[in-house]
Amino acid sequence: MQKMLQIDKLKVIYRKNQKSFLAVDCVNLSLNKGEVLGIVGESGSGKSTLGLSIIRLLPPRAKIKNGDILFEGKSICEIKEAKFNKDYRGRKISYIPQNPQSSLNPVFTVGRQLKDIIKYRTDIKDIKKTAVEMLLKMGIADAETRMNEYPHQFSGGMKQRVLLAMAFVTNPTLLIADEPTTALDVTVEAQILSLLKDLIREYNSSIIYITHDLGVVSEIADRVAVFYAGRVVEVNDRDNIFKKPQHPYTEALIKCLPDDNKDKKLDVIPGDIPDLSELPSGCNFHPRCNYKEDKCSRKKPPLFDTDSGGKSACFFYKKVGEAL
Amino acid sequence: MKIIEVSNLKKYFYNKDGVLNKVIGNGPQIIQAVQDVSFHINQGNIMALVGESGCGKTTVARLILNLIKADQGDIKFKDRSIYNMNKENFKDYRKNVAFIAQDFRSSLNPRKLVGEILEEPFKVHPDSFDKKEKDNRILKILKLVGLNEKSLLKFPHEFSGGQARRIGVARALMLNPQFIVCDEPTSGLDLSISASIINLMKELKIEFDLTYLWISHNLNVVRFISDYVGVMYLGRIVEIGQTADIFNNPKHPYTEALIQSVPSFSKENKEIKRDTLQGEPPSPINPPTGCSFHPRCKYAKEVCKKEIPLLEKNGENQEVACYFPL
Repeated sequence: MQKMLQIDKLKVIYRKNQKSFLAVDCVNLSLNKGEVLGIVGESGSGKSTLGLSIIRLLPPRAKIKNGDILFEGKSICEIKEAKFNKDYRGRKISYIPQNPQSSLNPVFTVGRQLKDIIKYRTDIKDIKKTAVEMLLKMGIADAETRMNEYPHQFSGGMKQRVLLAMAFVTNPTLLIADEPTTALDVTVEAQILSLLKDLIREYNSSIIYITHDLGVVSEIADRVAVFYAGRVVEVNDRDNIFKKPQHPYTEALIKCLPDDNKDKKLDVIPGDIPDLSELPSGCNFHPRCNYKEDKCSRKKPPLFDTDSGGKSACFFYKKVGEAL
Repeated sequence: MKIIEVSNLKKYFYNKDGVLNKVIGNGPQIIQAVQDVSFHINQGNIMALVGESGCGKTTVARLILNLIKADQGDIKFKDRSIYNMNKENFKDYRKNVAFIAQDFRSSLNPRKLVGEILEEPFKVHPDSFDKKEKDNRILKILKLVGLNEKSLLKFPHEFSGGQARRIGVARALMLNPQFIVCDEPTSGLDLSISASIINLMKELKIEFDLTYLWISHNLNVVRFISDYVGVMYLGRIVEIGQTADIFNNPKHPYTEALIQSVPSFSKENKEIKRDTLQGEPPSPINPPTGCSFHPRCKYAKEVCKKEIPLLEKNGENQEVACYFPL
């Protein structure tokens, strides 16, 4: 079966103060039709950069150095910008940004912004009716009147619903959701997540869901990729990754979560996230790793295939995850 | 011993009628930020306040710190009302009650070196430590929070989020306080850094015999760290009690919904649909009549729309404000 999205040895380079560093380093990932891929990692691990490079919205100081992104078998790096903007961005590939507050234009009504998307990104004729229907489907009551309101009259959760409407109205093949619930309260987050789950089922879109919240990712993802310092360190099915992580970093992240045992000290990953312009030699994680041996500081581990069908970038993946 | 006792606290904010409001014809609006909040914290305990944004948690913190004055009600520090203290006692109160601000970046003056920032408390309270003690104290606390001596000569922007938070913690500890108000101490931090801050706060509590008021919306953290929890909704405490009781056996429908909303990977099957709460918290300008939670509550009956339920004892260590506790 053909993969819907295939990311092949992708390297994205950032330039900053005459220094350059790889924000995404040799990432291989693929996505099937209708699959939800969760991407987790701490801040600065390159997860948002990956999302932006798929929809080609990288900031000017970032560039895809090499590697390729194949969308429906076609390299999106080779498509001309005008064509990409017309046929792909917002049409076949949608994007839900992290901050609903700043993603809507404050000087236009919500209805106008949604109608613009329908007008320029779909072939639907009955624009107004579709817009109202879409908002109703997102759970916005009284949609017809609310269309004429401005973003500041909407609450955070409502704005996120509008953005979901904008993302799904074009019936995208691929949706990139960059931390869509981070700015929301827990009860609203739960609403948006369950809405998103319904929409995924209805539209059968493939989703790349970027988040730092392990709980959220386990709610929504079929498969999970863990990022560390620009690299994928582990990929596996959702159930396997939380039950038996095969990379020391994944294991350490799971152990950081507070649990019921109050007297215990929380596990902490020693040290800090490395500066991307001064990465350690060998495995990026080795200075903070409990399993490290001499080899780790000399050689970069490739992605090994694990017994549970996933991939892990650790020489000692077989030893990891027993303690959980 | 009760270290802090808050009784029937009320705070209103007034949205003064500006030019635009006059044109539109809106009168001044009253925001009922905190309503009838009462609780106490015993020496050595960690009390957590949880709730969604806008529920008044931070306002309670600011009231306790006397950054704003309550419209009604009283706050007692060691059985002495802070509103009736003389100048000397009040200064002592300020010394004993410290604050860790939510926004750790903007709470550190960007133009001052960390050394100057940490010296500031001693300038306000010059008689607390003499010169020599002061320098030793700064170095000792700095070491305790996990920063080295070199940090004193750096500016706040040179630190990462977790380190900046540690500076905030160090500053709070300088005058040897008895009680610390921690406003969202782990928000905006990555998982492992958040865990290290939680560990640090726990260690410091034991080391200095501290008492915390822990304000957070992260229920996982609250469950882990606190001894008592107060759940706030729209300016009121709807349920209060021991952490284990609240989490294992919530009595208020809102508490139940809040706990169920937390995404967690311990759930075996992700296909199970959670019972999510409908709607969003109403505005504190125009709160619903009766129980403010009734429009979102699936158990709501007629009486909930009319009368405000009061906090009543339910079980050994739990109080709940609901006519139909679960």
